Amino acid sequence: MASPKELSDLLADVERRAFKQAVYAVRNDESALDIVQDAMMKLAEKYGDRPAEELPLLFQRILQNAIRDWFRRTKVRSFWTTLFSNMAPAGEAGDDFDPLETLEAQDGSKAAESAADEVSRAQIMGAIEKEVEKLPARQREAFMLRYWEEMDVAETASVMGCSEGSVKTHCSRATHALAIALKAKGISL
Amino acid sequence: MTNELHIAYQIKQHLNDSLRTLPADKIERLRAARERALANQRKSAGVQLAGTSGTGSINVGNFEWLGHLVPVLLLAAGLAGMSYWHQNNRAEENADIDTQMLIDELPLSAYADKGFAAWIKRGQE
Repeated sequence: MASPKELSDLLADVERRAFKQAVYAVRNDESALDIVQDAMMKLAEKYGDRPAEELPLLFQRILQNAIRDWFRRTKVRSFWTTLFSNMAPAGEAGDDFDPLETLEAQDGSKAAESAADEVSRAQIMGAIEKEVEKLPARQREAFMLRYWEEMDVAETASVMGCSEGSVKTHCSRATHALAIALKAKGISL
Repeated sequence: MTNELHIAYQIKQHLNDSLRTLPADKIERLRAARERALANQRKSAGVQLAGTSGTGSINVGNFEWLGHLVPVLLLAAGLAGMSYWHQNNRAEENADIDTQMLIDELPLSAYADKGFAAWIKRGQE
């Protein structure tokens, strides 16, 4: 069984990355915090008696499931919201994803190519995070687990519940999409 | 593939940098969530009993099923006891009736005689 210290060390090590992963997926800090908290609670409550070496993989599995659950709940909620907000004029419906943000990024990308040197480190970081957010969910999940969490292909496949071949494909597509999108913004890696 | 790894590594470095700029309130909330989770582990882990050798330990949580089994066993024992007591009681009642009939002045055949029962009834009226 993992000791409280081992569990504490693991959570302290992964909590910020887990939060960021959730933010990239759900694009809302509060929801991301809730997701990470639920994942931590579930790991401690249900799997706290497992050996310490099993916990990182279990935590990632719980976290990814929590993110998927959030999307399921949001889908159900938005179905009812749409149903009841049909009377409202078009464009007034509450929406977290501002289409202008995407438009801005696209417009900016043309001008940014020649001004790459002027882009500060913080701006590069912001651009990368935005592009990571834009990745399709499965590609982002594979990329995060494989390269940020440093899991091997088999572990990533186990967490994602897919084949190792799919993990490789998702990772490859994600990396290429990021490279192309960042290059368009004048950021070469 | 090498290029893919190189790009992934560079992005990872930037993502790691982004962790250092997390707002303090978010860091604090993550810490609080971690503390709550750890408190929950202690609660659900159950009581650890030290083994006699001092090296091993028994997790009482593993014997949780005993807690469910004991009430079921008690209920079964209670039902069996009630059934036994009931049967015993009926046997004693039957034995009493038999004894009363045998020591009665009337012969047993009188109880089976319909005419005798009608005569008794008329006498009471």
